[in-house]
Amino acid sequence: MEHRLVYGGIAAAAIALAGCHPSEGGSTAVKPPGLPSEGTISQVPLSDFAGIAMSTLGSDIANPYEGQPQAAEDGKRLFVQLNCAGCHLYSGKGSMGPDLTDDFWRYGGTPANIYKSIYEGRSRGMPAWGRALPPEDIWKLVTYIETFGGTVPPNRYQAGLQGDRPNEQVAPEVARALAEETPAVTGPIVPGVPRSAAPMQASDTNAAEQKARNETTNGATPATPPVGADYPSSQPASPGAPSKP
Amino acid sequence: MKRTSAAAALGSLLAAAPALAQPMSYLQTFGPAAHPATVLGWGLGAISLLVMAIIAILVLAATFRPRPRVDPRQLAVTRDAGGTAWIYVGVGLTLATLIGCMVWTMVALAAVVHPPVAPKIAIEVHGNQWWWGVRYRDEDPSRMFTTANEIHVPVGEPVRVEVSSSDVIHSFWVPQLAGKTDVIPGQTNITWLQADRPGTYRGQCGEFCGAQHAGMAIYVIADAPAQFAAWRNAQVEPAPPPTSTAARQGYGVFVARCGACHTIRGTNAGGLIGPDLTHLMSRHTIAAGLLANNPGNLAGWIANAQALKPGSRMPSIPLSGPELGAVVAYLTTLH
Amino acid sequence: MPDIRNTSTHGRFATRAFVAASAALLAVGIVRAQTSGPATPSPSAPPPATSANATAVPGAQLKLNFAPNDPPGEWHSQARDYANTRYSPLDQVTSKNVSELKVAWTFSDGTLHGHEAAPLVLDNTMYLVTPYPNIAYALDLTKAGVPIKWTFEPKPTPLSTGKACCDVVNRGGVYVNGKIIYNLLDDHTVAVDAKTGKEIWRTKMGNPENGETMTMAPFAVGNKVYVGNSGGEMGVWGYLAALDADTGKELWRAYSTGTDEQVKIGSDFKPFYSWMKGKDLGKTSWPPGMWKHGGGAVWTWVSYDPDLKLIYYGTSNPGPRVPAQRPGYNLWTSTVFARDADTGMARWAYQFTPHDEWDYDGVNEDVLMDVTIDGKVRKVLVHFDRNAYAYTIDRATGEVLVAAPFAYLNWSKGIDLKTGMPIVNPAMEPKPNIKLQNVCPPDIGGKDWQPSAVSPQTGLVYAGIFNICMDVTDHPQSYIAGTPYDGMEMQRSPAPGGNWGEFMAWNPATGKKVWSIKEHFMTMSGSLATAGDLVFYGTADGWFRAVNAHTGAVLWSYKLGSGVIGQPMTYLGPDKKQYIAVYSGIGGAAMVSSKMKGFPARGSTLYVFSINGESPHSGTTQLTTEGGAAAAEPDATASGRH
Repeated sequence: MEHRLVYGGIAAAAIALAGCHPSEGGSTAVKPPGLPSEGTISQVPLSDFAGIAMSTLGSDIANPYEGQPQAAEDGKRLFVQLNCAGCHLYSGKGSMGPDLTDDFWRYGGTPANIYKSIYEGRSRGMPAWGRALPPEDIWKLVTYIETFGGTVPPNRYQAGLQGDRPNEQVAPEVARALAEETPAVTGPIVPGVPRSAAPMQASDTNAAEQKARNETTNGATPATPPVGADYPSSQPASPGAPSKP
Repeated sequence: MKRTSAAAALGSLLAAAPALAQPMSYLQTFGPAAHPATVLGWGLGAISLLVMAIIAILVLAATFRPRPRVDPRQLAVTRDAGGTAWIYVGVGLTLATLIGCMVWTMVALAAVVHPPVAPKIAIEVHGNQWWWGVRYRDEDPSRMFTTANEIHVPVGEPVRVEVSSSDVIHSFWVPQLAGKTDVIPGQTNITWLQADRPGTYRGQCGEFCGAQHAGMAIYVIADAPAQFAAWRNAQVEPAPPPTSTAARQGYGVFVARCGACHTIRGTNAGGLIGPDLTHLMSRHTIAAGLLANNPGNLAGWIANAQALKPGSRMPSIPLSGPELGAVVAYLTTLH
Repeated sequence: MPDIRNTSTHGRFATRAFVAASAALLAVGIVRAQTSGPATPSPSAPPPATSANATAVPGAQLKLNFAPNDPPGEWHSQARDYANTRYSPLDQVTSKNVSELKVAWTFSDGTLHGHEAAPLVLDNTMYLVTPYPNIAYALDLTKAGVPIKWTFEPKPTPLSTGKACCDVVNRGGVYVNGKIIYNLLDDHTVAVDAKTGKEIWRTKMGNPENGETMTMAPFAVGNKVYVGNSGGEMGVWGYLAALDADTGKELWRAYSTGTDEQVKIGSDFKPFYSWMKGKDLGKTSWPPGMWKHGGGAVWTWVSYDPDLKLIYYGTSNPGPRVPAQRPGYNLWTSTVFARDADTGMARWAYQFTPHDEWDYDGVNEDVLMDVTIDGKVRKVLVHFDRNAYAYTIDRATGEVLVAAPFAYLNWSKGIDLKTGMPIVNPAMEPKPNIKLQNVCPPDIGGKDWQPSAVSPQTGLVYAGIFNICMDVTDHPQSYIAGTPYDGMEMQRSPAPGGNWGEFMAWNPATGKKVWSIKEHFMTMSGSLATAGDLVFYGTADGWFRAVNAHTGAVLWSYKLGSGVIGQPMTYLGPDKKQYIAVYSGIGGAAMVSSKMKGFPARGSTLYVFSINGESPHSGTTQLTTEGGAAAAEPDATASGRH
């Protein structure tokens, strides 16, 4: 009788355990929806294309962890653990390395540019982390750097190259030339999927956007930021808070 | 009879895991940090069963006690004599038993809280998601060392364990040696354990801590004192430099690709994010008890950690075939 | 508690008495709490001098150790001489006429990083070494306009600029046997022919990919040149090496951590205090393996006693800057070494801050002098340490004779002269991830590398010092080669008084400050003492001052184009007139105060002063330049304040 009891118990346990399968990743595992391929990122240029910037590569690639507080937290932990804070300081203000909180970026301030700088390293002593870190970790660092408030939204990639600032006026001649030469930035940003080129709307000089920009730099935060949001407000965001709701 | 068959069945279920550990059962313990509590547990269990048996007998006796025939025309209620004695006896016995159990419990608690003698060995255990960092302290700083997921202790000697967490709350639990001690960030909790028999004792995180809470095992291996001293001396040494071509190549790949997170003492790899690997091959398991430590599992873990332990902080590293072979060749020299 | 409902007389009296007593006690308690106050750090009282008979040294009794046969109008090395006196016997400019000092000529070297070096002058030529990219210039002092004789562009790698913790500075060159020898940021030592500007040899001393750089000025004794590395914040393996001045070949290298063999400790080694006695302490005073990245970089000054034939220098802080990661004394960091100048074998050592927890490097200069203590003349070295204690140490044996605070401190309650150990204040020991407030001095110390000067006329040592504290949080660090191995998160602020800097005169026999001048900004320039009873120094906001060496009265202040962190020097021009030269170009570690109101912009200009500004390089007719070479055009990409 005892043996039957034991075998029955084993059978029951086996059936119960068969129902288990390994977890797909729980609440603490932050899986990105889909990482841009490294090939795509390596094609983002550091400078402008010969023949005036006709590429949207810099603006196509969004941060897959955009706005995720957990990713920003993980990025902050990595920022300290990988000694980034040693050169860029815990405040991000920089001493040996440049300031990451202001809106001046030597090598571009969009998420893709920052990813590139971390991945490839830079000639004045920024180490090349690409081989030492998996892509998720680099994107998490990018997410954390975004919380400093100085980064550039992907659709302002061109504007960043050209030194544009919020609140600036664009002379009509220049706006016309840009409209003819540059493809528009429209539609939602999907990681890794290039957007089709379309003639530029006057979206950069759109009055509503201009007004929203004015409001932002005057300190009043708009209730909902416009689609394809502008540069962050002139008040730096406090570290740890995602730059976009 | 029953118990040994059940144990054998349990043992066969655990055959997938390294088949060298005692089953993780708190019903049988092997050290003074847990033994008094286990004995108390069995004792209280036995007393409860006895009490249950006595009560059951009394209830059954009372139920099936032969009653004298009663003339229905007479009053049903008759004066019954002699029942109060049962009450006095019952209350008295119960009181005595309960007081006895209380005293026994206090004694057992006192016994497990403090080691009988001041421990000569102190270990820091750091809970991380989802692995254990272990640091052996010493008065001589050049004899301190760090390892992971496996603790060695000398048989018969108490060991002081200071637990702290890098992230969330875990719990340090080696059931055959001691009770659970919570591992709380921002705080160092102190516990102790002692193994009175040589062998391997499996422990586990006892506080839900995230996706791989179930994959956070720890092994305590009790060695004879001479063996323990030899192990300890070996752990203090830095990793031997690689000699074969493959190992040297693997060393280069390791420092570049893994060094930001892992430490191998004696090399340029000094990362603190993941476990210390200086004497990786002296450990019986990898991935906090998930896999047996052998070259095949090492390769599989490096290449595809996310499939084996999804959500863990170890990423799957896209190495080419030769690179992976070289890294494994190097890692397997780290005795 | 008396029953307050009791209405009897006795009860009421008892109640009132109780209430009165409680109120009184409460009042006393409040008053005492106010007076004991929040935990404001109080400076430790300076321990008394070792002997009641220690007296201020009359000038005539102070013997200094000059380099032999250097003409008084020349300047061959950064410290002027073996003893590191930075004292010039020139006396044309005196406390009487210094108010007539004016700019005679200026020279811009085209680089905008921190200028920490002093020019060298010999053979009527001035030699300059710039911060990165480490250009060397020779200027012809005999011709109008001080034209460039030659320019030497070594072109160090830009990778090294990302590995220098505290700006890409250079502390100058040294003249040896017809060569100007100096270090490049990317770990090369280079020798340039002083007449032609051609490179004679270049020796690779380290690998910048490991986080190592070189910023110190080489020090020469005879035909040997001593050089060391920088990188105590980058987990480097610190060392001092000796090179042959003619060939650049490395003769020996003494590391600052590791086995006795690596540290060049042998049977001649006789430290004075017990915790430095033992075998392989440079390895056993660390957790296993951590000595290899333990710092101990040698990035400032070396001095030499030609009688004892010993060189003296200090080592940097231990790495990482998180003490919890490295229990043990962490020898031989924060230590002064006395070594045989020929063989490099250590004779004695003294660790200023065992198991340093605050980044108190031991690298500040050791000024050699003979001082009367207890009626006896002692051969000593005087050292103002980062830990804010001023030490007078017997330079033959390593015995500490005097150790007294010269700046605001609360990390320690004193130095026990019997054991040589500091008495650490446990409340000021940082623990990981916990913010510790108001630790004084901060990482940059009560005084940093800026060198002091000594005057034989007054017997006093003059130095720019700091008055700063920090809030610090330690974060445990991984070692990743080429990245910082640091971990200190800090906010710095001035100590009580509100002034960041101070310039002081110090009596090394008694351990007392004789006079001091408070400065709002950091005083991070070197000091210069002259026989004209003058001391010169500069401030971070650009003031260059001349002070009466006896009284501390400021006799002359001149505003330069940028802040002064360089070392002033003085020389005789071809016209036999005395000139005083100093660089202005803020940078270096003074950038910690860069957000102060009035903080200057970067600069690159050498200022040369003379009485009334007179010199052959200005006049009333059209003067023209006949140069030998053009200036360098360094890669001038603006990099902001770093």
